[in-house]
Amino acid sequence: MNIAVLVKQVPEDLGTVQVTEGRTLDRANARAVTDPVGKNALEAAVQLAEATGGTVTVITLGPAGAKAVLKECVSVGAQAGVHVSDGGLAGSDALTTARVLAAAIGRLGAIDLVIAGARSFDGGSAAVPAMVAELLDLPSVTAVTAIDSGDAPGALLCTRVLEDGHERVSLPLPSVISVDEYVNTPRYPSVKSKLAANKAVFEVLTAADLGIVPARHAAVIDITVPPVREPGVMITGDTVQDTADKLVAALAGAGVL
Amino acid sequence: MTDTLFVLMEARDGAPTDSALALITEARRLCEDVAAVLVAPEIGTAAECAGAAGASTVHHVPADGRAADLIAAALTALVATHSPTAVLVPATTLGNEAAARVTARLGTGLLADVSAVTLADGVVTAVKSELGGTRLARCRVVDGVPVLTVRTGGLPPAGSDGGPAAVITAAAAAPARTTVVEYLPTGGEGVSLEDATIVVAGGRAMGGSEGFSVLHELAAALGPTAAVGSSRPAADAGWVPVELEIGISGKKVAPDLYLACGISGASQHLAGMSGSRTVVAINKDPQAPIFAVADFGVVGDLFEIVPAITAAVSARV
Ligand SMILES: Cc1cc2nc3c(=O)[nH]c(=O)nc-3n(C[C@H](O)[C@H](O)[C@@H](O)COP(=O)(O)OP(=O)(O)OC[C@H]3O[C@@H](n4cnc5c(N)ncnc54)[C@H](O)[C@@H]3O)c2cc1C
Ligand SMILES: Cc1cc2nc3c(=O)[nH]c(=O)nc-3n(C[C@H](O)[C@H](O)[C@H](O)COP(=O)(O)OP(=O)(O)OC[C@H]3O[C@@H](n4cnc5c(N)ncnc54)[C@H](O)[C@@H]3O)c2cc1C
Repeated sequence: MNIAVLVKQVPEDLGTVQVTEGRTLDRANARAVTDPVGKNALEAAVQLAEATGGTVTVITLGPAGAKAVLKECVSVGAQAGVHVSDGGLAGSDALTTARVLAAAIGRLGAIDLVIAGARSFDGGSAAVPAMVAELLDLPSVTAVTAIDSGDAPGALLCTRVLEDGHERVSLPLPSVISVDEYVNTPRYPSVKSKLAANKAVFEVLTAADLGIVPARHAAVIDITVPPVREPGVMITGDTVQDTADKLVAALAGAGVL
Repeated sequence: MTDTLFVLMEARDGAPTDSALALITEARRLCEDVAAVLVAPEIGTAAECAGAAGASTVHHVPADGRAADLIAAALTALVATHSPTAVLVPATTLGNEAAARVTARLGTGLLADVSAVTLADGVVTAVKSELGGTRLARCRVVDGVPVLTVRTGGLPPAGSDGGPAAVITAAAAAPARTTVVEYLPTGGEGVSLEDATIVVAGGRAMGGSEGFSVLHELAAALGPTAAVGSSRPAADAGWVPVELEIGISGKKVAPDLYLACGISGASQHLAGMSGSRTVVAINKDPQAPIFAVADFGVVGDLFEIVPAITAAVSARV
């Protein structure tokens, strides 16, 4: 199975991300890491490729430093990486990101499956994978918690998580899936595989290489810090039951019970 | 041109979901004219439910309503004919998938995971909680029909005083490429986490699935609109089903009352519960960060305190 995996770089701690005058995000002070759920996507791809034969190619869109994502993925089983890096794409919205990624996938030749994370750690719009599917005119299943390839050739049986339970969905290939953190436990690189990944060379593409004209679809009007909650009331009583009675009385007094 | 808001109405077995109906009522609050879009083999109770909630029209597209690509095709065609002011979609697993596909088809902008919507002079503005709840952003779409995925957890329940909506049936859509083989509902009856007005959440301190029984007992005492949720470690460990996880990578809830039991208050957890109106923290560590966001705090062992709260609640009625 030839698989393309989409993995982005995200700030490790969202609290350290600064908001600039221009209403964009300044990640300079934020340590960048591989999107945690992207590691699950990569692991799922490597497992499928190991079981069925085939290759795993990672695609990331991001600034120069995002190359670290590709190295990390190669150190845990990907064969190749594509880095889309272009100042004109900085701060892209979900649709522009999806157009870029779909175009990059299109250049890979015959791909059986695209695997992405269900929801990125920072933007978290949970939109890019299904947008990519639509742009490539492929079926999709999002928020997958289990993948079964033994069902029938040319198809996958995926379990996805819903608000009210789970659904098992049969999906023909080629197609796009997005996985959540419960799908697997990502493996760690070895010292040897890390060293090897350091030597890997990745294809670097610009928007123009992909025939994409950067466009903005969604705009931020302003960004504010939410009001801090007033310090709360600590409830204590003579006994545990007394404390509980006081809490329930306080909640009733506040009109929530 | 008058404003119209489209709302995607998700349904299960012919019955619209509570979150879709709540979103219709919210849309009706913003706009006179609300059209619900139902993609489902049968119309079921949709005309009555959507009408009661505030929709004047239901566009019924006879197709597999569990296939996001069919929903997207149907919505795109309806948007092209009726040019609504915006398309509102519940931020559910399927809603997110369908909204993303519609946005890609229309080439417009997506406002994802928004917690509040305003409509003024035909322009839709959305408020989102961002970066793990550390920021609030107001956004709009630059041009084209905006598509929004809306957190329905914080919305008031659906209205019930409207008459039945007029039904317009669209042509049947193509067969789906994906097939739902099996649907496994979350065990136990009661409300879903998003629709609950009270959430009793447990964390790593519960120690196992048996530990959660004290929370289930409290939720039962608090009535039919209370549900049990969890932090990530508890769901990771399999003590509760994964769909009960609350946080940045789990559910976003906004109940009237959130009881955090043995949860430390990591930012990734707060991101999922920050819309809660009143927060109660129960933790044996007085320094636990959860106390900083709690309206009421109790320091102590939850396995003693929670049963005592259950007793106090039961004694009230
Ligand atoms: C706080 C915040 C809020 C935002 N809100 C919006 C919004 O409302 N509407 C909007 O259009 N944009 C929004 N954006 C921009 C948007 O989130 C990202 O910039 C966009 O590039 C990717 O969307 P996402 O991270 O939300 O992806 P998601 O759809 O949540 O990501 C799911 C998966 O898609 C893949 N993926 C996503 N981005 C990349 C990438 N760059 N490289 C490789 N794989 C990738 C990964 O597998 C990832 O796990 C927001 C950004 C931030 C930081
Ligand atoms: C990428 C990423 C995404 C994440 N997404 C999420 C998410 O969506 N949701 C989420 O919840 N987490 C998420 N996390 C994990 C998060 O960072 C925390 O690890 C997690 O929220 C901690 O869970 P907890 O509070 O249950 O456990 P702990 O932090 O271990 O806290 C347990 C608390 O229980 C208290 N306690 C112990 N015993 C008792 C007792 N008998 N009585 C009373 N109190 C007691 C302790 O004092 C402590 O405060 C994510 C992490 C990462 C890296």
